[in-house]
Amino acid sequence: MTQRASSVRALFLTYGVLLALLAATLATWAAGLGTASFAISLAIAAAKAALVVIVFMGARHSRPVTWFLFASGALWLAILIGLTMADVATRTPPIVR
Amino acid sequence: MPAARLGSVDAPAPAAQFDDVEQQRVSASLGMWIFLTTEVLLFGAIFTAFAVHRYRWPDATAAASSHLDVTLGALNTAVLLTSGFTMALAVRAAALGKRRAVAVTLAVTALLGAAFLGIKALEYSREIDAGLLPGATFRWTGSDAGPVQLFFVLYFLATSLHALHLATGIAMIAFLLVRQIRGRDIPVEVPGLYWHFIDVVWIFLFPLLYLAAGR
Repeated sequence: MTQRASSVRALFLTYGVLLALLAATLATWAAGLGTASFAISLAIAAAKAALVVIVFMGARHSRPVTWFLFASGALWLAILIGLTMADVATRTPPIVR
Repeated sequence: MPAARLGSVDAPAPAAQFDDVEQQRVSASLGMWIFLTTEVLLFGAIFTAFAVHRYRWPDATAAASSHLDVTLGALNTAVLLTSGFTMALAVRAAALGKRRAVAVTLAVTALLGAAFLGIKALEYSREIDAGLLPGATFRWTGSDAGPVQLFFVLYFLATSLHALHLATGIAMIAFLLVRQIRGRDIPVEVPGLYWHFIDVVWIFLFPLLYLAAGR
């Protein structure tokens, strides 16, 4: 498996989509839907991050072991945030006032 | 190791522990991915703190976040996305052996990174003038002064840690450019992975910090 060069077209297209997603984020914020706007902007951020990882970082051309590492990072992050929030949300009396 | 040089006249010899240049390249890339996995958890801890803060004090999060400059934050996001694009072009040029294109795209990437830091510094100076820097000079006339100050602790911690990473990336590019000008071969793929990671961190920091208030 030799190093594969992404096409300029693919990189340009990805860059254009990233800027469009940024514009969509700002439009969602300007729409003023409160928590819904915030949730949508985070979902868009996840989509942007996925594009950067898959195209710019070349994950689409990489070996399974790279995907394994990526998945392990996501899993530990999910444990970190998930279990912390479960604790904060359910502990009685609350940890902090 | 003469045997390793047989493939191509231009191909550099791998270090002693590798079978060939390709194995060396994949190992270097894998090493950076492992490092970035640990970085996910470093920034992940700060993201977790934001989640807890928002859950416990949603009103304070909104009040504090509304004092950040969304226009400058969005501008910086665009600057960083552009630098990611030019870095991807640099990695492509390196894979194709185009040295001049590598130098130009890397230089543009570093300049965009410096522009990001400049805009960030402008934001910091305005926020400090407004009394938003936590500590003795913190000024807040509204309610929830404690939780609001805590938000700004997290804001300055997250953004300065991100800026430190970006400054490291700029220094790394400058180092590589000097090496290339001196006629050495330089790695671009692995520094590229690091740069894109910094980009990804900011992609999440922008909505978490600037858009937390709604409008």
